[in-house]
Order: sequence, then C-alpha cells, then structure tokens
Amino acid sequence: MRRAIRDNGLSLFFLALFVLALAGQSVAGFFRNNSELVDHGMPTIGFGEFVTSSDFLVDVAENWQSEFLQFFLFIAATVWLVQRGSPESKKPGDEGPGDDEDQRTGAHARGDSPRWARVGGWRTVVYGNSLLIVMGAVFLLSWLAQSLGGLVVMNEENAMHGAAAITWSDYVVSPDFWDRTLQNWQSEFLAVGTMVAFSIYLRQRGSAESKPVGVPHHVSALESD
Amino acid sequence: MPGEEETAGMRWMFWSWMTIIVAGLAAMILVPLSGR
Repeated sequence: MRRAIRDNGLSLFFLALFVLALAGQSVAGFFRNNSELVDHGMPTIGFGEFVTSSDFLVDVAENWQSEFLQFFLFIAATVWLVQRGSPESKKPGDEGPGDDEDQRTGAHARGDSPRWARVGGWRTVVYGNSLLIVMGAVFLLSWLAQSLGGLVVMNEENAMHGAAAITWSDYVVSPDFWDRTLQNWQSEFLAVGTMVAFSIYLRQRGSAESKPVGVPHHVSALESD
Repeated sequence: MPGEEETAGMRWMFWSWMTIIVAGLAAMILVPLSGR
C-alpha cells in the first residue's frame, strides 16, 4: 500500500489538489452567486443547485479548455520547434516526428512495446498521436461546454435585465465568450513560454522539469545529446 | 518489467483521471443543454 502511494505520488498529489481547489471554487462561487442574487432582489439557491448550474460549470469549463489547449499546443509544437538550451525541448536538428527506429515502432518495436506500437499500419499511427488526439478532444469539448454554459448564464442575465435571449451562434461571436476565452489563453501561453525560456538558465535540483544543476546552458535535453 | 502491483497502480491512475475528465465534460455539456 505504502509502495503504491509512493509509486503514484505525483498523480495522487495533483488529484488531491484538484479536488480541494474545485471544492473551494464551488464554495466561494456559491457565496458570490447568492450575494449577486440578493443584490438583484431574487431568492438565493442551495449548494446542490449551484454546483449543477451553468453559473458554476462555465467557470470550470473555461479554465479546463485553456489548460488542455496549452498542453495540446505544447505537445504539438515540441514535435516541430525547438528551444536551444531548454529541457522542455529536443535539441536543434532533432525536429520532426522521428522514424521507426528512434520511436521503437513497427519492425523496431521491442517485445514489451505497447501492442499498437508493434502492429504497424493505422493503429500505430493513431497510437503514435494518441496523447495529442486526447488532449485536443478534451480541449474542444470543454471549449464547447464553455460556450453552452456561457450562453445559459448570459441569457439568465439578459432575462434579469429585460433583454431578449440570444442564440448559441450569436454567443460564440460575442465579446463575453471571447473575453472568457482569451483571458485564459494569454496566461497559459505566457506560462509555457516563460517555462521554456527560464529553464534554459534556471535550475531546480532534483526536478524532472529541470536540467541537472551543472548541465551547461546550451544543452537542450540530456537524453537527446 | 514491473510486477502486477506496479501496473495496477499505473492503470488506476490513468483511469481515475480519465473518469474525472469524462464525467466533468459530460456534466459541463449536459447541464447547460438542459437549460439549468
């Protein structure tokens, strides 16, 4: 049991943080929402009703979509682009998807390689891009969720102010949708760019996200050098 | 090669996160579609 917890500590740590942060968000959002309802002279709602409302879920969705977009772009961009000196990057000259030999696919697979890496054909192509496919799908679905939730919230506000309801196609070109979207995107792109550039010169002893402390600045990734 | 205990842990982690993602996406899409 103790061994299983240690072996999976990184996933478990972030799982606990995720649950705590989401719980905190739901409680803070519940009080904010009810105070807004009171300000508008409307009856307050219960906690269960709040966490199953678009008011809560649109805020969750807009953050999810930007995080998954960040990883989608990071995974895709690091296939084709490099940053000399960054541990997040392959070394200059290694750009591209690689061949069967360095990816250990098809004839170059090992006995213990995943089955879809060994079989070749469409399954190896799909499996070889499965991380990007799943991250991209989660991004698109959570962005869709944001647009659906944002539309419900906007139409609730419109009704409160006596304005007419709008449709989904109106909403996805509205300033509200793009404000929610781009305020999250800018911070993701800033953080990724900063991580790539800062990790050229800065170190964290012992972290898998850093080069070892004594590795020279110009070395991109130890494994590929 | 890792033993059965090690692979079970990895499988648990993968499917726990996948379940959270799928359940979250389903809730975030179905709730607004129901008009709530």
